[in-house]
Amino acid sequence: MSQKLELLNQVDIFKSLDNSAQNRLESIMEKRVISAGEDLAIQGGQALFFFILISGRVLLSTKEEKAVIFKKPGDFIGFELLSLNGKYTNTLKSLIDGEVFFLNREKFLEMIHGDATMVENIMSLWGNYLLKTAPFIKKLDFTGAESIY
Amino acid sequence: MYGFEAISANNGWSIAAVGIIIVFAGLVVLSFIISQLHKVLAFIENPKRFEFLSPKKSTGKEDKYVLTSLLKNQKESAKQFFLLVKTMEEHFSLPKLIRLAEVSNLEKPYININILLDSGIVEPDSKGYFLWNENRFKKLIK
Amino acid sequence: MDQLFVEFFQNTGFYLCDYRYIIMILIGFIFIYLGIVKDYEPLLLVPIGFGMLVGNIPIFKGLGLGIYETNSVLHYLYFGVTQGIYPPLIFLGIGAMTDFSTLLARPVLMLLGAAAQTGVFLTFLGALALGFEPKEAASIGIIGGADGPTAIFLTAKLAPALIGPIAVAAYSYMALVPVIQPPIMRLLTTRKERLIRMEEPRVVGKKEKIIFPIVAFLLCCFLAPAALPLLGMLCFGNLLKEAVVTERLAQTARTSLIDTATILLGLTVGASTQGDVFLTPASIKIFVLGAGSFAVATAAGLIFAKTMNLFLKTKINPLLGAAGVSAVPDSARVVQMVGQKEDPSNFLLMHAMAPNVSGVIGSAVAAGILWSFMA
Repeated sequence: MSQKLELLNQVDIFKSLDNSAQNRLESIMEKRVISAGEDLAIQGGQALFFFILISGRVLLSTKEEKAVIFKKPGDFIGFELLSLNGKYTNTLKSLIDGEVFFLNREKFLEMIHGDATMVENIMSLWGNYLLKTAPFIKKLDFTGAESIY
Repeated sequence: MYGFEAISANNGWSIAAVGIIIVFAGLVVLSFIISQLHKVLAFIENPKRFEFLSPKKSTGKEDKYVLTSLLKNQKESAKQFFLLVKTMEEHFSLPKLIRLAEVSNLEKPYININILLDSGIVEPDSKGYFLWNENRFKKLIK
Repeated sequence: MDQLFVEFFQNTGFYLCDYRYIIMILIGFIFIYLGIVKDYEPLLLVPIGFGMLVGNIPIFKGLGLGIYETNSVLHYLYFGVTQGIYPPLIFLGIGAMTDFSTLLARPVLMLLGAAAQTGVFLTFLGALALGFEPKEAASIGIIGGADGPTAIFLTAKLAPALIGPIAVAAYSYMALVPVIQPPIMRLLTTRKERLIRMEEPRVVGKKEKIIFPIVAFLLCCFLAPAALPLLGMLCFGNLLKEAVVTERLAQTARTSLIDTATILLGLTVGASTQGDVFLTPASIKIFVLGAGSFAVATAAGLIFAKTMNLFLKTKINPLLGAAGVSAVPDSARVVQMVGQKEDPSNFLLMHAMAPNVSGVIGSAVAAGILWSFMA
């Protein structure tokens, strides 16, 4: 099994997807090395990517100066955690050197919106994941509109 | 023939009862087998990891921290961060602490914040802010 | 020449038509409407609805056009229904598209799929009480399994004369799951119960997923060998999916093969509802019993889930019981919908898929048991 698929099976919201959905997801994942202090997403910037942590530790900070640390391989940082209407709403910084899978946001949203079962699966788990990792970030009502994130 | 008479004449009660029992029995056994499947697989793949045969004994509270001791320079850095945190509220903002560290020219603020997190000196309060664990800090810089 | 015109007219549908054909054509329209406009099981209702139009064109007997005429094309296509060929092919496709992870993560939810089969056996008793023969009663009872292919398969084996009404009843009620189930679910659960959140399921490994269809097949078919054609294909399809190396075969099974079988099954089942053979008092009784069967199966699942909660440390949301009636994935979606009406942030869909897919296994086992008792 490829490293991407192996990791996808550790991501709370993607692990229950079927093989073909995981394979499609795998095709838009790109591995990158990140270094301490590097900005992965800057608040207000154009939202280009969502992220899946492979190793290292990243800090997500909101405009209210709240923060959450992601350190578990397979932590997914996307949707409300990061963006709204195509703009990054929060900042994501790497605290130490590590590796991250970059997911092209546009392709990812396009992909899940083209598959009703996939979007249902993902969104049903996303609520729990968000509540567990960043309970202070409000879950948006998922309307199915592609531009929402 | 209609009603209960028809049911009895065609052995309906027994068929229904036995049918329900067999469906239940089949699925109960199947659910039991699949509930054990992952344990059996875990055992075959790595007997050492088979937890309920050799349960791992916890070695105490220290287990939850990645770092259980600090190097000399790490202790120094922790002390400097402590001074900064003292100027902040009890539940402080981590991005703000990093910014203060940068402004104060502390060395490698990101890496050192990570050390504070790994050692349990800085802990999240689950509301988006962080707390300074003084006991832990005192213990580690001793 | 006048005589020729008269003879031609006497062979047209306009001349041969009677009210029964008109009624069935109207029902066909309703099926097509529900499928296309309301989006209720369109992949099934549209072929069946159009099949009803095909089957209810009044025809001159002897030309080899009608589905019940041995030399007609439709009759050959209908062979796949009467001999129970299409349902196992559909099960192969269902197996190749079903993910059993949630069931493997929480096997106890499988019992909800078993509980819902109570509806099958209670309806069997109801059908006997209404004067049906045991074989017919068994075929009617299986409507409660909410599994169209299973209902058709069993009826083809036990009471071929009833295939039309039973198939139409089974698929109609499957399509109407979002209408039938919610009132029963609300009636039998309290708000507090509907608000229960489910624990996140554990991660299920690849090997478990591969072993499951083999174990499930061997166990269920040793227990009820008559379930072999359906469960065999279901498990085989699932193995193709999970084995990864057979992805090409799985892809065919879950796309071209299941689609072909569904088209042929839907169209011919629809065409078998010729007004003169379909509109009988027996069909009306079957429809009433079918609705009862669905309602009882839903209620049985809900009540069993509530009963399980008396013994479980971590409570389950009893709404999941309603998904035990199979009808994949519609009844799981209904659970999600009813749950979210109480708490929009409560996501039950993934959890409901567990009893939902176990309902498929349960109804195939129930069909096997009924077949072996009646054969």
